[in-house]
Amino acid sequence: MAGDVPPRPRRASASPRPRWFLVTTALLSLAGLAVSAYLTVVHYDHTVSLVCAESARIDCASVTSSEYSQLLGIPVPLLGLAFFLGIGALVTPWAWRSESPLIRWSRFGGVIVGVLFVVYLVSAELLVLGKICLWCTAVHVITVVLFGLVVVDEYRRVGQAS
Amino acid sequence: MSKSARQRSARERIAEERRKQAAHERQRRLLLGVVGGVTVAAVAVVAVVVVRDRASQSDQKGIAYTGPSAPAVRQADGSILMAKNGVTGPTLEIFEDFQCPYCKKLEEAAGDTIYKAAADGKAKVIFRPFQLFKAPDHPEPVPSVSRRGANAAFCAPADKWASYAKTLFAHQPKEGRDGFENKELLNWARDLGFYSAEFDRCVVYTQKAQDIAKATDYAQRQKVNSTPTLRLDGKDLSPEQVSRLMSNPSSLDQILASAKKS
Repeated sequence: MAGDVPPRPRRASASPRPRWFLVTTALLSLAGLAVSAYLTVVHYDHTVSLVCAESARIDCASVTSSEYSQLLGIPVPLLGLAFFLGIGALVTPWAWRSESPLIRWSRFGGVIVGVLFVVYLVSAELLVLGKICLWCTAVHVITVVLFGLVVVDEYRRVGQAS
Repeated sequence: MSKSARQRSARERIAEERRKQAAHERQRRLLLGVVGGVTVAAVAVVAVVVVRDRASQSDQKGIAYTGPSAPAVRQADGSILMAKNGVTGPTLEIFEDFQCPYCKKLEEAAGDTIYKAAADGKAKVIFRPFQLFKAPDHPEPVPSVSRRGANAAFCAPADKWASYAKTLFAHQPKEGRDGFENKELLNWARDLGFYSAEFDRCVVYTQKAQDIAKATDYAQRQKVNSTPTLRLDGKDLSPEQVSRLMSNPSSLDQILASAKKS
């Protein structure tokens, strides 16, 4: 009988995220981590140079060696590395399952900070340097997609909770 | 169905309806909040980037030399040969470092006169940029500034030599101050209309480091240990001649004439 069902059925059934969602967010974080690691290595090891198509507009090296390659003295690739480590931890299936508001808010806040940092970097590329770095763009796209997915998830969650 | 059951199911339907509405309202607020908040913050970020860039942009512009000029070519050793066609002498060599204050003075006082002398066929002029200020004799940032200036001058096309050298000297940082930043070096090239991706890389990666080293070696072998050193047909101009040239550029004619006689 219906009365035997435990209370808060909505809560209990809340957020069974589809498998593709978990896989996609995890893979995106891994990809972001990998590219950031590559850019970090190139930043510190000058014997390795970036593999990059070059044209008048596309030039990785002049972006990654510009004054915008650091923020408050911290190399941007290192910030990217830290970001994807953090986000990577927050989009593991375990973290997704967690009901902890701290994890949820960290994830939500994290991607917002990430997307704003992308806005900062892209405006530096387009408006100041006039150059685009393809590897950086890959990281930017990954960040924006992660932001979108986290917002979609949050949207779904507030639509479910009673 | 009993009346009370009907009432209960109606109440439940209303409650359900309200829950749905509340959920929709939360979703609407979330979207508005995220889209609105991120948009406002993004606009602010872009504004900060643009404003900071404007503020950091110096009002130093590239300075074009527009006077008469002889064809200039880059020689194999990186030096610039400026001579009217068919002119074989006398040869005036100028050893200079873009961080050197006296070279700046010479350029400001007599630079145009020298370019004009080359254009008029009165002399074959060879500009030999090199790095006089080297570590560890000179503390940073002097050697780096000198090196960046020399490198950019080596990267610049020969026919823009007069303009770019003029610009470098005009914006020469005070000794001990930082300057000749890549961004500036590139912007001056933009101002002077010869910016290219190739020049960009040449400047950013100090691609002419070897040429600088060779030119500096050459200057040392030639016993050039101060700048500017002006050399006429292999003979150094005296300090008096150089200082007269700075105070009275028209003395260049006499100097060049003296070479022809000897």
